[in-house]
Amino acid sequence: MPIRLTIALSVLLFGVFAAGTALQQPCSSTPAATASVEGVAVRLGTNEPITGVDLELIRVGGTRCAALAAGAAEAYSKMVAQGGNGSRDVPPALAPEAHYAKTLDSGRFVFRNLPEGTYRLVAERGGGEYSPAAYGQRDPRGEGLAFPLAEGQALQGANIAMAASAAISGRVFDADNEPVSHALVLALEPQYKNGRRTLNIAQAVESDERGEFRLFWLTPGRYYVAAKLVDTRRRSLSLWIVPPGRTGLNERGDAPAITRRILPTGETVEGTYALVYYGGTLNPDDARPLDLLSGTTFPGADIGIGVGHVRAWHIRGTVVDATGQPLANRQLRAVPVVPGPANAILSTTTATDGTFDFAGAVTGRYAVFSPTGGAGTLVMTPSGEVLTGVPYGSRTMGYAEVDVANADAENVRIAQRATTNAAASRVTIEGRPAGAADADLAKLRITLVRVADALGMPIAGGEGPRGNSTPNNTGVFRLADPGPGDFRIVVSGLPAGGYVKAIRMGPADVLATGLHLTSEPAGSVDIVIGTDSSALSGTALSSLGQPMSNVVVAVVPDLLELRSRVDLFRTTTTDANGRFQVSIAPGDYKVFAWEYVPNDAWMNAEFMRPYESSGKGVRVLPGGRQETQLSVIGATR
Amino acid sequence: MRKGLVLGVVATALVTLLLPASFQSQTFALEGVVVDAGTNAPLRKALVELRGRVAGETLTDDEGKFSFPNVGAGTYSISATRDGYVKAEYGQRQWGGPTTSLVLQSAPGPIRLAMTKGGVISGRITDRGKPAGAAEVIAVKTSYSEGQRVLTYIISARTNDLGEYHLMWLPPGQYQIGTIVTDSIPDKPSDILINPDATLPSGPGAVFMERRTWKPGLVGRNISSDIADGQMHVPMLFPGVPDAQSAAYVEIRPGAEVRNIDIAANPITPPVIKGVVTGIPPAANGQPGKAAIRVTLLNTAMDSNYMAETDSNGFFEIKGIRPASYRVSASAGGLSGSMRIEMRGGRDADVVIPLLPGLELTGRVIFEGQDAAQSLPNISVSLRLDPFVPGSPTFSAPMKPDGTFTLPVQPTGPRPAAAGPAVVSAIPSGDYRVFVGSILQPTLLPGQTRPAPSAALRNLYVKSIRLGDSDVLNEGLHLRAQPNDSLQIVVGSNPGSLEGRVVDVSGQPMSSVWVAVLPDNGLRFRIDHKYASTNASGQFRIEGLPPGDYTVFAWEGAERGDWQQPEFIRKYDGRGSTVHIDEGGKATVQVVAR
Repeated sequence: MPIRLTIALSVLLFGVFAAGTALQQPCSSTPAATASVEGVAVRLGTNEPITGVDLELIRVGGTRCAALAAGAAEAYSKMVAQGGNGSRDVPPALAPEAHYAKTLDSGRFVFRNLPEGTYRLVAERGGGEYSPAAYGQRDPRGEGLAFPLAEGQALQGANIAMAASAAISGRVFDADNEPVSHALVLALEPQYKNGRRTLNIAQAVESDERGEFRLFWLTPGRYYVAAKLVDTRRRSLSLWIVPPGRTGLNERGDAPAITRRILPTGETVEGTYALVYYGGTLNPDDARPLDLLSGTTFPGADIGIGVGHVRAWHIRGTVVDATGQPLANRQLRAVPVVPGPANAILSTTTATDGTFDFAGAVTGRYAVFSPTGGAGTLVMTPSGEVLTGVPYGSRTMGYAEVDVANADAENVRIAQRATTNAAASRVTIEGRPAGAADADLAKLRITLVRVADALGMPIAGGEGPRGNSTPNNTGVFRLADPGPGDFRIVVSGLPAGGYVKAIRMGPADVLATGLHLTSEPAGSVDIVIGTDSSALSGTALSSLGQPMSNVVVAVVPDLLELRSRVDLFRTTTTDANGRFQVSIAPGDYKVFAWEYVPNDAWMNAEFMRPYESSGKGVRVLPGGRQETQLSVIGATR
Repeated sequence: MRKGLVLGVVATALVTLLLPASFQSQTFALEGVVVDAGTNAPLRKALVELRGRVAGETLTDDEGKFSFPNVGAGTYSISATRDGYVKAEYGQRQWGGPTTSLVLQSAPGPIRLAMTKGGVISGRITDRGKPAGAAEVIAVKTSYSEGQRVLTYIISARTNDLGEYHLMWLPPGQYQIGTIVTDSIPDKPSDILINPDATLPSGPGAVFMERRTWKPGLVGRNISSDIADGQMHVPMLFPGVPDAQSAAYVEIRPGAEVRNIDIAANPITPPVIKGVVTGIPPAANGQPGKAAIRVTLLNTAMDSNYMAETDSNGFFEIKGIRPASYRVSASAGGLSGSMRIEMRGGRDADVVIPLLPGLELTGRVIFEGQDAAQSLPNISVSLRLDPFVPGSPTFSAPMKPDGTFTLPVQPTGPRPAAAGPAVVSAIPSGDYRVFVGSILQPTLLPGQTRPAPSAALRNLYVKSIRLGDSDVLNEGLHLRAQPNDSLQIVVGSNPGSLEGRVVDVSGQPMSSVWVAVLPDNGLRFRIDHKYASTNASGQFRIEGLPPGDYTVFAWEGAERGDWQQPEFIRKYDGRGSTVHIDEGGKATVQVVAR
């Protein structure tokens, strides 16, 4: 996501710069701030004016004559990368570029005395009745448009239609149709991560004494509903109400509630509670979707959670050290490798003979590992910045994946081994002298990402807690041994026109097949950055042939077998003229444009199937420029 | 009880001796029923949990019955949980009554768990006429400690977008309902909390991980709600008041559903306290003006505290104060000043706090029947404000080998820089209670525990505390000026004991009821009330009673600590059994449960 926005911004800045040079006019010593933006905030659908709407207009791009305030561009990028501003106040560096207004009864607002530049306009109404909205947005969940404003321009009709938040109500009942109180009830929205569709928590509430619940402050769109008991003793749940319009990865991990029912025979049967989706199923793929419109309440999402009381199994085994000796008193964790919105994460400690016994597992694959190392908690911002925590150094690691299938999993053996920093690896930029000092090399950031990126999994090793490594200016870097598991290597901070051409570890093609580590990494990693990337540009057109601004453009590898190559995808949004441009590795691609599409959905095969024929095939040659026209696909779920 | 236990041990020993090894792991079938404490109707689908040498759970059947086959000998607790009811423990007659452990040594009789119906409080929270969404609503239950009302957090809930909330399965009692409307919804993308290496909390319901990343926000600034400048939301209590003293109580009886407990949580203009601290010594190291003195404002009811520093003229100002009663204090060196102020009714306060030299109190602890040559127990004497203000300092001094003490203890070295608020090294004038080590301790608040006193101290009790002519033990310590006398604390070491039996009105023994022994004089200040619960035969025994006259009460439907509530005791005036305890004496009594 941050990558996508950065690209969008650079395209915009490039466009403005090109316009400035074309005119070749001298700048007046003090550019006049004479432009204005006027509009009205209305309720989506009914067009009633809304009073008391707070509007924020931020100049995100300067011009040759009216540059942004010092540090403003960086402050804005940082805020975008962090996913919002942590403070009530606008960051000081951005303050000179931020303007505020409030609508009156007419819903009207006006901003005057604005310098030329590129702006974003957003609107929010306190109290939760409306989802925040942005000028140029094509869906209540979509992003706003960065629009240009020329010197002296009076932009009128910068209208913003605000979606009223929606709600889902229903009832949770047990196998006897009796109400269940204190059940966890979730509103889930589909999201896409590395090609996989996941259901993400949009809102969480608990059922009341009548079993009734109300999931509220939902931005109109598609949702699923699910419920489960997280505590057999029915205490009140720890919940955090999500404000309207805020989305993002949000998963919950609970220790499993294990029921130990003693049968009349004396036998004990262990059970636990699984998430039951609206539609009466435990399978998220069979869950019944609810499409919520602005300001509506879906009233009957009733869920019988009796089917969610499932049999719980054990995972048993032994932890040994590198010499085969049992390891006592080791903390262990078992994490479902398939991400879920409310998975149960198991934990236990080894006995004096190194044996362990997890209770509360359900059918599925678990990663079992010993999260040893420095004790402490890492708190990170979404961009990966570490706020507090402990340095990661050498640590020991044991890891195994276990399938639980309607039986206890026995004899799992976890061999711990010390992890050490791997041999020096090298990254080179094609066409530049090998081994020479090159500032672009030191700007690269190389990250190890665990493929099974579920909540609770161990972080891939490395110098930083995220497994980040920055090469020196001759391209030498070290990736810490992350322990066993499957990983990808992600390279960011590429020079202009650069792309990842190859990643190898010895004979293994890491770029194509990933990094599969069962023992210590054998040898060093070689990364080649290609520089012969091409510029792909174009215009997105509506069904009437008009250029469409602010539509999502996704450039997807043409061959299905390359669709797992996350590095080959590109995405951007069209500018105010319906234009887009991306820099991309040579190859064959399909290009798609959507009015609205969930982020990264284009990496999911199932999502893409109905759209394959709507993509525009393009062949991009090394170092070339390619121009194309796209027809925009209507809003999708 | 004690006799039974001894017999039990003997019997086990005999079994161990006589039976072959395989019989030692003899198991029993535990069978029982869960009923509604009010109607005695059987309750189906109650979750019955057994905890002890083995743990397990089961659900009751349509007749309210449950059974745990094959349970080995040992000590167990049994509890029942069910929607609509308050959790019930083995041995309880109803919620709040004494619990007992099940000692399983022989085939047990049928077990009965009586569940008290839980109450529901629901309502609507509004903010200037509009529903307040996602507001936190809490229920606090009143109980009594040292004659003061104490509020204990019971449960919380959040309102939905219509402002509605539901607080459910509340134990019977008196509640205050409060809400907190935030001025703006936190827009900060919540930090990802990952916990890769730390110890994981465990147990059902433990949320140990939550991870959020946020899509870049539509709004770059956290736009606040439209409350006027200078106004703010403060916690509001039903029926719409900001201070606990004026809040209404909601009475919850078993199974009660109390609707429409609506609170208008409108923003208020919070009061401001301004003032001047007089008598501040000049600033150190040549700075002009007076030293900056920390002024603290401590709430007497809840724990919202404020702090400010005086300027070079001794002036201070604290804005945005939550309406309540406070004690405002300042101190510098050996000087201190404090006063009680009411920050209520929308009025600002303007105060003058003179710093005065603190008081000093000397005294002696006299241990009866022990000469000074004997080594005395290592205890300390402490003073605490009365009524107690959470967060206010306690003055404490260790007793010297000869039994004397001096309050306050003057600091011997430099204080650490990171000292907490209200650093006071002299006792300001005021009203205090005196506590004596573990011999006379503050009453435990609900949920608090403390270790049992050591064997050397177990039989000691405070017989009297006097300052000159005044009876400090029963009337409190009122320090207005430097006292001429010293505090005399007499500790007795030969207490009496009381044995008894509780019966119902028809003379049948009553098990599992609270028995409280209340001194006839000075109820308010004799806080070390002794209490016990009856065993299966209705018997109880209380040791360590200071000699004197007492009234003994037993209640079937009381919660522990109810007898500290003056109104509660007044209802049973004259209906207890009186008893006189002599020094070292043993008394017996029969009490009719009320």
